[in-house]
Amino acid sequence: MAEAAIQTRDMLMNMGPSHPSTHGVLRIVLELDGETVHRAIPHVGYLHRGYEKLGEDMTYHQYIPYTDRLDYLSPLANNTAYALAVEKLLGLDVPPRGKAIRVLITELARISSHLLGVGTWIMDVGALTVFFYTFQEREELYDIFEMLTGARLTTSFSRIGGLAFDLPPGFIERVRAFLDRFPKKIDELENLVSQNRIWRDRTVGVGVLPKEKAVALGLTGPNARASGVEWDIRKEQPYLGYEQYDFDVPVGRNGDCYDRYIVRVEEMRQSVKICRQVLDRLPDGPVNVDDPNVTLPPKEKVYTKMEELIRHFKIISGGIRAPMGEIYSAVENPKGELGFYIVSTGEPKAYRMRIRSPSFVSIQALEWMLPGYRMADVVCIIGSLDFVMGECDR
Amino acid sequence: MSDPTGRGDDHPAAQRLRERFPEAVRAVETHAGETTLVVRREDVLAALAALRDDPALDYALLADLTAVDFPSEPERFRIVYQLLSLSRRDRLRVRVPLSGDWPSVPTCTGIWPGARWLEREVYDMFGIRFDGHPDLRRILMPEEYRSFPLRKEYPVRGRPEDDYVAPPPTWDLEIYGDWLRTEEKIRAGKEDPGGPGDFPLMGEPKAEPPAEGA
Repeated sequence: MAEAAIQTRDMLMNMGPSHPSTHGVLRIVLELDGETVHRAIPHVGYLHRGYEKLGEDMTYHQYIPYTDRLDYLSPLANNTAYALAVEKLLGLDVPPRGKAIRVLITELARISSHLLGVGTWIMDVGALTVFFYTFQEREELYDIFEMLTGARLTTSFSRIGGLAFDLPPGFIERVRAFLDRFPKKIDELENLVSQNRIWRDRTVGVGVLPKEKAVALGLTGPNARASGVEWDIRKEQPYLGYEQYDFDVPVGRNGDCYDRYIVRVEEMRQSVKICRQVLDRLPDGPVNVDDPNVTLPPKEKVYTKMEELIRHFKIISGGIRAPMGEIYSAVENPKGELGFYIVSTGEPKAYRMRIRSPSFVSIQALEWMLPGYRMADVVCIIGSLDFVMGECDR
Repeated sequence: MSDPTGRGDDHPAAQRLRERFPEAVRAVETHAGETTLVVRREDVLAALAALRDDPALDYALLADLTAVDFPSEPERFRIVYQLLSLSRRDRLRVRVPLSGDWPSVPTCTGIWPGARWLEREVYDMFGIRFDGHPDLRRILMPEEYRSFPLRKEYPVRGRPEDDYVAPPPTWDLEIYGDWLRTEEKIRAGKEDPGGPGDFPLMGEPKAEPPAEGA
C-alpha cells in the first residue's frame, strides 16, 4: 500500500516546433518521469514544401535552386550532389577543372556547415563565446561564397555538366588567405572547449549510439563515423576525383556526443587539407562539358550570335532530355549521405525525384537515443546530431 | 525503363538469392553501373533478410526506401530499397512491383529499424500500407490530410479540398494520448493513466486551435 501512496505519473511535455535549440521546426513530444526522458516522439514535416513532387514538374536545370534549400547550411554541396546525379543519368563526365572546383566548394561548404553545427550546439549547451568564434569564420566563408556566386545562401552554382562560371579573379588568393588563418582558429576553438570540464561533463557518455545501432538505423556521415562506422563515400566510393587527394577520415570510438564533436572538428581540418591540395594543382581548361545539348552557351555569344541564342532558348525552354532509366547517386554531404534517386522516362523532367536526406534519418534516431537521459541532455543530443529541417522535411 | 538483358545475372546477390529462393528474383537489371533486383512481393522479407545476413553479401545498411507510381502499368507501384554494403563497398537496388491501386507490402522494420520513418513517408505520400508496421501514421503531411500527394493523379498545385483543415481541439490528446497508452506500457506494469482528459499535458494548446494557417 505504501507504493500506491507515492505513485508517480509520467508527464507529457511538448518541445518545439518553435524552440531555439531544435535547429528549425522540429517538434518532440517527451514523456518525462521527473527530469528523465522515458520516451521521445519526434514530429517532422513543419517545413515540408513538396520538393519531390515539384521535381516531377520542372526541367533538370530548373530544379537546381531548390537544392539550395535542402540543407541550407551547405547549399554548394547540395548543388554539386544534384548535378552529379543528373550527370550520372545523362552519362556526362565533367572536365577536371570543373571537378576540382566542385571539390573545393564542397569542402568549403563542409567547413561552414560544421562551424555552424558545432557553434550553435555548444551555444545551446550554454557556452556562448564559442559561437562567436565559429560564426566569425563562417562569415568569412559566406563572403567567399558571395564573391563566387553572388549569393550567400541561395548559391545555385552548379549547372548540369559543370558550373555556372569559372572562379572569379582574386578568389584563389582569398581562399588561400582563409585556409592559412583557419587552422589556428580551429586550435582556438579546441582550446576553448575540447578539454573544458563543463563541456566534457555534458557530452562524454551522453547520447551514446553503438555502432550496430547506427548501421541498423541507416545513419551516415559524421554521426555514423562517431559511432565507429568506417564509412566515408569520398574514400570508399570516390566521386569528383576524391581519390587523388590525401586526407584522413576521423572515426570515433564511443558514439557519444563528445565523439561527434571531435569528428566534426577533425573533419574541418581535413577539409582544409583537401582545399589546399585542390588549389595547389588546380587544372586549367573548361569547367563545363562540351555538349551543345546540355551546356548553356556563354552570355556574350547568346547576345551576338543567332545560333547560340537559339541553342540557349532550346535548352532553357525545352530542357535536357535524359535517357530512360533510373539512377541513385549518393555523395558525402556535411550531414551524411545525400542521395538522389531519379527515374527518367525520357522526358526533360524527372518522372520521380527522390531525395534521400541524411537529416531525416538522423532525427529518427532521436527516438532511440533520448530515452534514459535527462531533459537537459535532450538539447545536447539534438545539437550533436547536427541536422537541418529543410533537408529533413524537403 | 527496363533493361532485361540479363547482364546483371552474374551479380553475386542475384546468384545467392536465386540459389536460396529460386522463385524470388523475377529479373535482374543493370543500368549506369547499378544493379536492380526485381523481387516478388511474397518473398521480399526473406530476400531482404538474406541480403543483410549473408556474410558474402552483407548489405547491412538500408540507405533509402521509397516508391514510384506508374499508373498506366498493370503493376502500378514499385517499392524501391537502396541497400549498401559497407564491407563490400557495394550498392544494390531491390525493386518490388505491386499491383492494385491500394496495395500493401510487408514491413521491413524487423530487419532495419531505420525503415520505420521511411515506410511512414511512403505511406504518407503514396497510400501504400506496410503490413505489420508498428506505427504507420502520416509523417510529413498533417494527420488530417486526406490525399496522397506523390501519386501521379494528384496535381502539383494541390487540390482545394485538401487545404488546411483545422483539427479538433482534442487533436493531440486523441492521437498521442491514446498512442502512448499502448499495450507495452500496460505490460510493463505501469498504471493506466486514466481517460484522455485526465492525462497531464504541458505546453499544448488546450483551448481553441488557431482558425487559419498554423
